[in-house]
Amino acid sequence: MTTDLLIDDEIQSANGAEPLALHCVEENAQAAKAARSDDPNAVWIVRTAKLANRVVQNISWPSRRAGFLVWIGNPRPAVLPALERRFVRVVFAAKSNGFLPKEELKAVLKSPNRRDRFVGGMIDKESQIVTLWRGDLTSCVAPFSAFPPTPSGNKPDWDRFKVTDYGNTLNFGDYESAADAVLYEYDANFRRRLNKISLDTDSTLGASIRRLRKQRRLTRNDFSPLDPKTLGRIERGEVVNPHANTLDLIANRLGVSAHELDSF
Amino acid sequence: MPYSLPLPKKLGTIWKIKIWDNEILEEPHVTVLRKDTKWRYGLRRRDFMDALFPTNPVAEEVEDDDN
Repeated sequence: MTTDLLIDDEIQSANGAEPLALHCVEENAQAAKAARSDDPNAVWIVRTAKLANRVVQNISWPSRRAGFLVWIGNPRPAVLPALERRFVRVVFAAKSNGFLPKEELKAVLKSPNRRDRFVGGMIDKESQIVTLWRGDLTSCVAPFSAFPPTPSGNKPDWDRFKVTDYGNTLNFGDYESAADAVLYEYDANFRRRLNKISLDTDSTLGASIRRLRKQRRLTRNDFSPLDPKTLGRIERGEVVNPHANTLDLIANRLGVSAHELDSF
Repeated sequence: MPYSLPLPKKLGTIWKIKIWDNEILEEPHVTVLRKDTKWRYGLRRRDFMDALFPTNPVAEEVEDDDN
């Protein structure tokens, strides 16, 4: 199950630094409270299917959306639309270990920079994607190709996926990836935010092209018919305004759109 | 595996110092992790990159005690 149930942009409370109120639903009375709460910043953490069913049973219809539901487990598809109508966002993982341990989960959700960390996620081998839940309870989807073998030949073990280090590390068995690296590549806003604030980062177009070329493990000879020396001059900033056709060629080879080039 | 700096046992239960293989889009850096706090030290700028995150100040534990 990899359906992204998030209803983005309806309520912004989880996106900013506004404190969230965390509630662990551990008994029926709390399930009923979760079903009826109007608190827009409430995060209800449910760990059993029985209690999640109690939440659904106690919803008063028609229901107004409020708060967030974190379901530690794999929900039945039949109840997802109901939860989707009740909570602003519903996040879940197919496996119980798809989320951070309880204390780390709470720490990340309470953190002001929670959107820059992951709280959990899940793997879908059939579609070859990794769905990651960020601390602001939005999703980030990355293809398997985002986790290439290391130079030493270490490959991700998709069956051993988990999030560790308070949401800063993605583990695939012995293979590790930094959360920052994934966000940097797959979230343009994260990328722009870092580059904007980082005064020491070289933000020229040439530097962006070079970084992206390195990331793709390409050499300057891989951009035929563009002369490698010309590409080198562009990367070094010696060509002030590269021709649009040249930028299109470079962008196409790097697998991004030309207008995005300078954001890397 | 990322490169992980071996630390004395007492420190290693709380602190982690890593260089990840796939962090090549940004400048080379070392990541220092202590529970829910993280610092990234840029090897080119020779300074902390975590000034980007004003909510992530250097903890008192890592500051020099000159007093």
